[in-house]
Amino acid sequence: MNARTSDREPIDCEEALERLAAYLDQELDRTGRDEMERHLERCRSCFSRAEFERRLKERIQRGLVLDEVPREFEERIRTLLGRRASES
Amino acid sequence: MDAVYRFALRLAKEPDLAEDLTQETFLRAYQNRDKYTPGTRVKSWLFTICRNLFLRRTERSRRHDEIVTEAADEDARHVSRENSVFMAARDRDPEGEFWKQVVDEEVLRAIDELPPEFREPLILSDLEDLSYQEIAEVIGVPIGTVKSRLFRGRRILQKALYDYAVEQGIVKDTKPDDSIDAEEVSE
Repeated sequence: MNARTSDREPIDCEEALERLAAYLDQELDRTGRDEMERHLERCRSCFSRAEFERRLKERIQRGLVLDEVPREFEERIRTLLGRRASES
Repeated sequence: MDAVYRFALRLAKEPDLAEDLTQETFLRAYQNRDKYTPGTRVKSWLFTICRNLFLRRTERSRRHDEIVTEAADEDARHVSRENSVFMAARDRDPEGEFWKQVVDEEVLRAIDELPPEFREPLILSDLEDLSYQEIAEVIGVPIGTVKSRLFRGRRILQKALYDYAVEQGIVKDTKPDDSIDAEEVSE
């Protein structure tokens, strides 16, 4: 497959895979996002790859969000900052 | 406060140290509030302070960082077309449904085992939704380095979690020829 020669020309699989991480991380501009989505609509292979990567990203988010600040600690910080503010 | 604590905990991997770092971060931020640049995200600024405190505490020198960076950073484009985990799974679970069945503890363990230079951008991107530019500013590296570290960190994580899924019988391994080559992530 040849690389794109103009902005209007659909992107190929090679370019789609190069842009995949940026697409999933919402780093592409509107045009780039539209081009990716058009490609994913018509390419089952790249769509599967994108879903595979997207699910990992979701899984990481779900795992990391479990960490919670201990409430006592949070109270301590708020008290400390409040004290500093009243001193200054 | 949650975001700074979570970031500190994943950096330090010890709740006591994470609390110290979080407390120190907020105190420093308060002391230096006149240095905050309006228009930038407060969260990014706090992460930067927290990371600097952590590096100082753990005595990770700039020289060490440079050595790690040289080894870790490479153009992600060279390897982005290949994904051995995806290729191993594509016949049985091409869209990665199995990720849902991997337990949270295993995900956290795999994240904690990532080298720090890969762990930091992953947390800032996937948990805190910082942009590549913001991550680059927090870590103090070019955007291209952020991209390649994210790419490589995710590959290492994919392999660790996929291996776990196979071990647990969540995914049946494919034939030996399709076994994942650990070198693929470090080519």
